[in-house]
Amino acid sequence: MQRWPGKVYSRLYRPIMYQLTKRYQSTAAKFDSSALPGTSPVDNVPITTKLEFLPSKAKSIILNIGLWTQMFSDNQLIKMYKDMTMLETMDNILFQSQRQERISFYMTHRGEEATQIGSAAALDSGDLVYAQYREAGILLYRGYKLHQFIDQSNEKCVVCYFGDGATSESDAHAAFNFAATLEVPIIFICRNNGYAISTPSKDQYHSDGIASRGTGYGMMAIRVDGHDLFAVYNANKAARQMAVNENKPILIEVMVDRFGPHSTSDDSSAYRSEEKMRHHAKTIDPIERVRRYMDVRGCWNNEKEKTWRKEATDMVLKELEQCEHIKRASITIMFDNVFEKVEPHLQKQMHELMQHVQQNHEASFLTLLSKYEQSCVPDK
Amino acid sequence: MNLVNNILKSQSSMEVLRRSFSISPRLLTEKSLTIREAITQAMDEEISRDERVFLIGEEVAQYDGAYKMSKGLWKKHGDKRIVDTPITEMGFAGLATGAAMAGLRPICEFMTFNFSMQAIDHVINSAAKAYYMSAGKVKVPIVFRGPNGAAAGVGAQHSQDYSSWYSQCPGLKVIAPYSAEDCRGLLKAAIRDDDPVVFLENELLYGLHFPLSDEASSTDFVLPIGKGKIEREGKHITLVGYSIGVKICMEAAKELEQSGIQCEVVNLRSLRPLDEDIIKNSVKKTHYLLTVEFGWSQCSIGSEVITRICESDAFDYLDGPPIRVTGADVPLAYAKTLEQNSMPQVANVVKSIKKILNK
Repeated sequence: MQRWPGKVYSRLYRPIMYQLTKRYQSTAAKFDSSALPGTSPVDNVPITTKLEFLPSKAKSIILNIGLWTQMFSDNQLIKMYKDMTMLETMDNILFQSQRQERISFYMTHRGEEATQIGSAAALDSGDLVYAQYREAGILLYRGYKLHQFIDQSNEKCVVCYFGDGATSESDAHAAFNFAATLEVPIIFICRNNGYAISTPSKDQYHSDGIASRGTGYGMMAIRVDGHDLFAVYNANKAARQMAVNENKPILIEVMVDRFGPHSTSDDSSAYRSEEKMRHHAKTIDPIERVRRYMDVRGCWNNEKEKTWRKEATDMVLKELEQCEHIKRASITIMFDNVFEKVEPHLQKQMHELMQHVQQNHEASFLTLLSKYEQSCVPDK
Repeated sequence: MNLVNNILKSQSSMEVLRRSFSISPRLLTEKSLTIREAITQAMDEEISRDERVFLIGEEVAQYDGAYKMSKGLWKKHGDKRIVDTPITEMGFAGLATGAAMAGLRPICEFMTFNFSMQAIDHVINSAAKAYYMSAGKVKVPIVFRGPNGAAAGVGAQHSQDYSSWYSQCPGLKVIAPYSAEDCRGLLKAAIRDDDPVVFLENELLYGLHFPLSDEASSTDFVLPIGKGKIEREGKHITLVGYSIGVKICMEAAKELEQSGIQCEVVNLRSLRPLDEDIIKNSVKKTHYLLTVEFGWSQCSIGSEVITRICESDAFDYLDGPPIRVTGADVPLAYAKTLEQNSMPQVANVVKSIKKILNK
């Protein structure tokens, strides 16, 4: 389809297709339109003689909510802090291990820890989370239990995380519009870190960020300071309450800096000032802010910090070491789960693969093969 | 704006009225069913049978569907089971796929498969791959259905056959029914199947009557996915078709009967999995092969069928080159004459058969 005219064309054509349908069958269903609720677009809209366009920008920009006031128990606070710093530890080690070719790909979280932990803490454990890639913190906070992602029932809300770049995809429009028209309990959390990989926001949208779109879809929205753990928590807590009690979607735009590169495949110095990022990391680091607060409160100190940081590093290194020695799944597993039952043509391919494997006695191949669980040749 | 729309609408309908449609006369046998009725019945029976099954799409509820495929279903089953959506294919295909992941069994209607291009990311990436990418944890028992291929006078963007597009993708099952029996048996099987299924109907067949056996009328009637059917036995040449292509094959076979040529017509029914055995066995008997489809020739279903035969032991039985009869390799014309002649006609098939057989 052509990009623009095609779209228009297809919509124009729908009425024609209804006509086609009518020609096809004489007994087209008739329903009493008077029984339907009034749906005319002119209902309840007053007439004015003033020719006035709505401005493309609102009179004032949407403010960034920062709330440094939430009181937590020491235990809660330490749990959140530990998760934030564990993320940082994972970032340090796993980013490097990708450079050492020990893992294939990694996305760091530096700068966005409060966005994740603050929102995760505000949710109930049964709420359904659709995470994007920079949400390992949610898994951490929840103890990484995969089945909790799939379970859903009443009194729960659904949470969908995405970046500012994703809002330019047509999926975002579809999701916002469906959520609003179907009146469902969803929290959309947009992590607006200013860059879609390398594309700056000014090339993504000319609106006042993402929060401004809420009104267009008939959806409540709020903007929140993503470097402020408690602000993220409070905004999410309030949003969750409205979502669950009033069955409505809420859009939260978290304004945040991604201190690191987009992923292990990215070098962010190519498109933004690293100096500025370093300055931000020093002045508004979400981890540092929580730590200072905890210090003042007296539930944390340098000694605890040192012990915990070492413990976290040891934990990640130990896991990395252990996982590297676990045998990979059998190579024949690649034919499983394509369909509910393994189709005959896939059984045939599996058999051919095993024959190929058994006939290959090269040393390098056998070394590679030893890293995998062994499979037996399936019956033909 | 309303005024403009109304004008456009009325002009469009006038345009439509001037056009005529080549629909075969109804075969008024004792027990017969149109394709439309067969599909509506199959959905009705499965929605009644399993409370997890629901129909979702544009205008499927009060309006009974743009092609009246869900006639009476909203009145019978209500808002919960027959769900209207905003005009956003990507939205409702994604929503339905999510519902399937969560344990429901949606029937997702595309007003036509031409609009499924708006949602193909969800069909391929979300539905077809989820079971594999979750290591078997997330099943997606969904049926994407709607009319596929060219109708009549709806322009190039709305006249495309998606058979080879979807059947290329592992994780999807693809069905292209021909008769009322096919539609009943295969749609019911698709709804009960745990894998995502693309069910490609054909608008030009919707109003046609087909005889239906007592067995096929039963609410328990299902057909196996992945098995073809010999629609007509013959010994001189194998004609392989699917959907409306089978109709052309049957008409060509009937015409050639008078010249003493007996064609065997294979109705593929399923495009993935493809019933290779039924084609091989037929080719071994007839020694000649011809495929018929309305889609384009490159990477077509016919290409796949012929390749499979050439790669198999049935190749040695061929006494001549296999041939594809397909749609013309151009975006479909709007002009009526050009449009009709861009799609396979009985005469094209008859001529090709005579050429292969040197008759």
